[in-house]
Amino acid sequence: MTVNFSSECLEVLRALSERRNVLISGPPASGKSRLLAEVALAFEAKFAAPTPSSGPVLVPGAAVPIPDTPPTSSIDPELQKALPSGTRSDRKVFRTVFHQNSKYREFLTGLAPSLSKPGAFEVTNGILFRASEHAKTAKGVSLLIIDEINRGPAVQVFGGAIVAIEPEKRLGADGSAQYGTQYFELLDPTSGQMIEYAFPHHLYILGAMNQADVSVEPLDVAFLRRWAPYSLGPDEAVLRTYFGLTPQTQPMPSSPVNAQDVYEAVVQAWAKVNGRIALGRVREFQIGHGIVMAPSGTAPTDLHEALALATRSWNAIRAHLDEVFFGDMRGLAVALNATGQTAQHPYNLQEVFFGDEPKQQLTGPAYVTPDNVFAILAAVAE
Amino acid sequence: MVNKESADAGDIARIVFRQILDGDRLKFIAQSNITDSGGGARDLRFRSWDKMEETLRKLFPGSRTEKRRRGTGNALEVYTGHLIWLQKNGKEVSKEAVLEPPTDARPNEGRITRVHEFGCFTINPPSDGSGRLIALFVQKDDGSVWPFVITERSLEHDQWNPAVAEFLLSALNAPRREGNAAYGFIDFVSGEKLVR
Repeated sequence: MTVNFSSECLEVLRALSERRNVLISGPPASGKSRLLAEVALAFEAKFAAPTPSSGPVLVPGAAVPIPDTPPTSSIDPELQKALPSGTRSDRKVFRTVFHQNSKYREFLTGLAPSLSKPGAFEVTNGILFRASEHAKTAKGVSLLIIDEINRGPAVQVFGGAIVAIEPEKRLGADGSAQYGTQYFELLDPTSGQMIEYAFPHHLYILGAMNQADVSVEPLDVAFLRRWAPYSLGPDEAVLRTYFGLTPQTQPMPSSPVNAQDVYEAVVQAWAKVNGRIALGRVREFQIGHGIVMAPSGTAPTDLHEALALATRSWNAIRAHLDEVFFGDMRGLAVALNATGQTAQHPYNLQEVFFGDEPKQQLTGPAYVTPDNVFAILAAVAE
Repeated sequence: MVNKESADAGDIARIVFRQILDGDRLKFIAQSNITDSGGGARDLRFRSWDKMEETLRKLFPGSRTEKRRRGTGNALEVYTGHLIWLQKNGKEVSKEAVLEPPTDARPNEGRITRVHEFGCFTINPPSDGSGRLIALFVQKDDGSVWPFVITERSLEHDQWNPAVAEFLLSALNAPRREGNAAYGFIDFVSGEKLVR
């Protein structure tokens, strides 16, 4: 059996091979974390076939579900072509997440109090430095994954290294200095002295961010142009495949007969809400398809379990809407299709008075339950 | 004992097994064990709860409070998990399954309830020459649990993973009182195993 990776994964790997630095962006739940995990798995792909003494492997559809010789794992030919530094065998993935308190010294090098010698300081080995050093070894190749790259002070964390990550400013494939190699000053963890440092050819950096989540400072254009962009977005086709739904031409029933009816309502409501967010706010505030998928990975086929899943999904969508339209009750009502255009909508936008001041209020069910979720989804999707 | 080092290369975390007796086969197709009784609990029972509980809970990680259907009707905490199997058309199905802890009447016996509702158990392997039957609950490293019904003959003649086949066959052949089903588990993560 060949291990197959998604086309998105292969595209990111190709972009890494060409540009060394790739930045994945997309709204929440659009599959960024899944894609990061898949790219990491593909990047570390082992070329050796499993040995006959491999432990038990489950093959659910086979005549013998736990066979003697597990299916031979081989590299997808497409992956082999796309894999960055594919001939290097010591493949290592380094992972970090940026946050408000991320610092240059934790990312590259710097001084930090010593735990072993009270009162003394030592030079740190940050994750980018470790990844870079590994990629400088004879067979080494490194992929540094930075999730939530825009939730920390990314420009400060990279510091002077930002120029040196550009592909044409790295060392050569054999580790030698090139005409365009860009050096920057770095506190050397070994000597404790400032040295000139450059990044190796076999170092790859993959960042991910949700453009709607900027908690410290926006990424400036100079920072962004060092990265090859890769965008993910809400994908209805992914959901239709996941739930086994075909494009629907029939009107929605008044109550669900089976799980498919529930999932059709979920997908339609989710798609309509996303369309309204894009109009009322911006595309970056949309919500990805992952928000309505089952955490276990498999959508239940039982009607009651499907309604329970739909309830959880809708509550997550609603929480997102409340955040996106915070302080804008009419915008929220429009997103919910609850401005009075739809007969028997569970929610209703009403004008009330706070003293003499007119206010808008959204009335409706206090709680979403499996008993009322279908009516809500159908009304939102109408 | 399965060597943990070799097990690390596979994707199976643990296997719980239970021999299927003739009465159990009828439960799977929602018939009574005893012809004239008109019913009977359609549960798959595991004795030695004190030894099995920890492993079974890994397969049934959730919990909720239910009213016991039998006896006093008191509230009871049951354990829940999902069983996943492939239909004949290859489509994957997932369904919640419930593990009930022991009752006062059977203080050391847990049970997977309503087994007749699971399509994975309604397959009916040929009995002539197939030997004894075993229900397997195979938990992968990702936590998913896949049930299967397999035959002794298949374990002896087909190309099963030798460590798994040897463990299950030796479990079937271990001495026990006539009419008692073999059951137990093998855990490739902890290295523990149990045969009763």
